[in-house]
Amino acid sequence: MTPALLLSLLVGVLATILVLPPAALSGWLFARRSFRGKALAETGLMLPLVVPPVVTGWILLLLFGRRGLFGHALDEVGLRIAFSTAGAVLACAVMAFPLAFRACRVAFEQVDPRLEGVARTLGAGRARTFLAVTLPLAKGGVVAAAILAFARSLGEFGATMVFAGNVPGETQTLPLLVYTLLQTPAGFDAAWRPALASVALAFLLLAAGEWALRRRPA
Amino acid sequence: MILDVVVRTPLSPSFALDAAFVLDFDRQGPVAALFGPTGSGKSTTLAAIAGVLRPQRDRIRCDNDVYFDWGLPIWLPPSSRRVGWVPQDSLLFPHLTVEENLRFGVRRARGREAPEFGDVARVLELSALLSRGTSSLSGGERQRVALGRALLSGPRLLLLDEPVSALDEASRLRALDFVERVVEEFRVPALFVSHQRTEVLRLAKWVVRMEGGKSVEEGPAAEVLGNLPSPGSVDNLLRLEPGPLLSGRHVSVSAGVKVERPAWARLPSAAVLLARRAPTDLSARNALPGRVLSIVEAGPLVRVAVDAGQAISADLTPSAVRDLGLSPGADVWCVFKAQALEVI
Repeated sequence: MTPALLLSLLVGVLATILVLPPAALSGWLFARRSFRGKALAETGLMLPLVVPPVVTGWILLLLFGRRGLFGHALDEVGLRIAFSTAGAVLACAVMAFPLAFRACRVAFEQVDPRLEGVARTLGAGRARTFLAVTLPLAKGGVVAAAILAFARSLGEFGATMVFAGNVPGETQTLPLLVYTLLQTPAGFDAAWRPALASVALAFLLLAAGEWALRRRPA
Repeated sequence: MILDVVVRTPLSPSFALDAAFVLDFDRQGPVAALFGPTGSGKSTTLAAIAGVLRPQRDRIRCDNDVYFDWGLPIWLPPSSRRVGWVPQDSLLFPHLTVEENLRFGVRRARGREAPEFGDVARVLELSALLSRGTSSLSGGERQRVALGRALLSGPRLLLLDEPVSALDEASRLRALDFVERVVEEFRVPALFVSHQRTEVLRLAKWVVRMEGGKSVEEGPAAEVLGNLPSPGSVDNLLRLEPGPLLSGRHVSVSAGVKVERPAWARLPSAAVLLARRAPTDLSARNALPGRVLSIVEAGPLVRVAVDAGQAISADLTPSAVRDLGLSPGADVWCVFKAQALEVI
């Protein structure tokens, strides 16, 4: 079970790191700006939450598979994403995006935009205003977004299975291990350990997420 | 310094901002005011000058700098305008200490002639607060930190949005003092927004009056405010003004027509005599009966505050107070010549 647990944690951390910048950026954009087609765009961003994960995995294959839209070009420079650990990370990141995006958006919406205005009149440019005012004030929500993304990654099954496969040590995370074990009568009894580990991790992460959201900025 | 503002922008289907004025701070005095009732567009105009709100049309210029020109088009970002915007509710950064708040804008001030940190902390009496968080500050303290933060960013112009209206009466007086001291000490002109006539009279020499989103009148404070109907209560005014102000009706006769208008007048306490009995055989025609409220030493003289329906004070010599046997509660008559009244 240990390799699957460690791989789960690694994939979860990398997926969180991968998903957080775009989630924060789009969260900020949707919290602060209005533009044509905003509602439609938001629906699009939220899709991975409701589309069957297997379908998301299939779309990822279409895009990043060896003959896929981007996968073809990546293959030429020797990069293989599908059926690799990188693929598992990408699949988890895509699946975690809607949750992270939504949490970031709410976090930025709660920051008084007039504080950003004050920062601008005090000479701060857009970047410094974001880094020195907006982001610190939205910190709790962004941390919560990261925890949510991490938790979602640990639970990811369908998209990973289709896009990254079920290769022990490479793409076989805890849920895939549990699934694999359940296929054989002998494994059925062995499945309780990874299953329990998943439940314990999920519990800890949910509690941490709640804590981050409730904490008031100092 | 000349501030040239022509802003037009729709704010809601039924309300549009349409303000146009030119302020010449060198000639009209270092403090000017946008005066008008709540919702008349004052704060929006101020926000447009600060650059936190982009109006639809026309222009904002400060000396040779174009902040905004609809026709060119130019929109100078707020970070390049060098204005110190002090919003009504202070808007301190809640995640920073008082000192970090104060220092937020010093980067822009670097290399420019700008107030020193130590001087700002001294004038605004902030030294004891520096390490505190912002949530434990009182309203007056918050306002001072916001003012200091704006000053330390090296502004050429301060924009004060209702600087004292969120405060209680006692802190309001002090807060006005601080604004006055800042303008004097650091020689930064200020445009402030207020719906309180008393604050405007106290701070500003020049006033732009706004109503329903439009700038309707501008001129010297006493003229613009003197033409307005008197408010129901002049309580604040009497407490705020260095010499008490009286409210009443100004009656003048021109070409045989009697013109009456509500007016305020300042009655310098040096011009008031006190008598223990109703004066007779006296050339002064104005004598108001009242009761002594308090007797306070004021330098070599003694200031006697009298409730004569309105608050009046008289500066007497200590021996006069003794000879008349004045003490709080004593009945007196306040006597003054009509010419001593400064009608505003």
